[in-house]
Amino acid sequence: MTMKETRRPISPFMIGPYYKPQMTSLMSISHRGTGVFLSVVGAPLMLWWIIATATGPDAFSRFEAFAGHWAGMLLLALTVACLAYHLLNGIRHLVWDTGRALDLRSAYTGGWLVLIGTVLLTAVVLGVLS
Amino acid sequence: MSMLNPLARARGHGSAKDGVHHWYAQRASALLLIALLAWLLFSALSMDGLGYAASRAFIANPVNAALLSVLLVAALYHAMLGLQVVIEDYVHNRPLEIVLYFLTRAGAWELVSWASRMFAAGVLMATPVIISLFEGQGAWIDRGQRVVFRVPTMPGTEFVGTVDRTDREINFSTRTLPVYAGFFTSDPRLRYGMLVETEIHVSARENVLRIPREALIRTGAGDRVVVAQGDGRFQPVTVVVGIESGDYIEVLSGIEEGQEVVVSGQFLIDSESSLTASFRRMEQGDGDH
Repeated sequence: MTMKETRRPISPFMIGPYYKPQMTSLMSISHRGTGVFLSVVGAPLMLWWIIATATGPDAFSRFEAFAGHWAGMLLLALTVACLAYHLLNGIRHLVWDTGRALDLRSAYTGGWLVLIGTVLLTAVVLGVLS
Repeated sequence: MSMLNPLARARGHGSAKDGVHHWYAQRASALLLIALLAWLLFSALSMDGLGYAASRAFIANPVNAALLSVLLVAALYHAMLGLQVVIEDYVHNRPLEIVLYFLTRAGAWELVSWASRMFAAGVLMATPVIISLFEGQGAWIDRGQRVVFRVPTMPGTEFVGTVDRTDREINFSTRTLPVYAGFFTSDPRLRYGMLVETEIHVSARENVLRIPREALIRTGAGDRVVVAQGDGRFQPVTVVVGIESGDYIEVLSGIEEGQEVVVSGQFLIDSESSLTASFRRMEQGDGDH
């Protein structure tokens, strides 16, 4: 049997040309997107906060200066929003892992709950931070 | 039904990778993170603001420090596992995939070890300094205040640290209040037992009515200042004073902002006015009889 080289479409380039964008697929890719953002931006920011607090008042005031700048505020707000989404959608994934709520209707209901919860949780946390 | 591909089934081997472990680890760390993030959110809500003093007090608590460390390790582990999946799925260039995979692993490991070292050095192993203050100065001191340390034998070197706590008790023999502060350094020239000059930056107080220190007349019966009333007339006034700072003393009550106080020679005016008041009383006494 000879192997014929085929050029199959490979992820993540399925949404769009091959599949119509749907809430389920978009929320799935967003889960990964927010996860990457949290790994690359969120985790270092949290480390910075902890290390600055551990090091002393001058290091902490440098962090505060960053957090007070508009770019810092934007990064912190994005981190909080991504964390809220990734946390809530992660709970949705964990429910699926137990074999529950796997039908289409539940997938959409859960999706809306996650989106509404993300907005609320982000607002609460940003309210506490400011 | 077998999940193995035909070649693997023919060879009698399973998967060469540890996929199930990865899957479980990802979910176990997720559950841990849900609990710890909920804890962190409620802690932030109950904290006394998010400034330096409050943050410092929060991470200096051993239980919080331990939970925060677990949160940090779980978050970086979860991030490492997640990034690995993303790289495996979306990076279709094999050499680049392998490089990114090892970068993720090494990055997470390096961050964990670096963070734990910094955390330990800053919170658990800060260089301790005991500052002895006069008991009256104790009211100024609060946890989290910034302290600058200068070592006389190391000119030009400054260390910046924090007030960590004060004793509840005044030292009986020295009549001083021990204040414990610490700073983060790896300078090998510092030795235990060294004497350092310290400068505690207490929080600034706004809108304080203050007078020059030399304007105040301290007597056993209370503190007085001499107020100039214009036309060469002066009046001694009893005042209640607050804290002292540099050459100034805070006045809590007795005089108002804008009044002029005598800063020189007031002792003469004060004693003169006491005499005058005595004479006046004597005169009034004569009139009554």
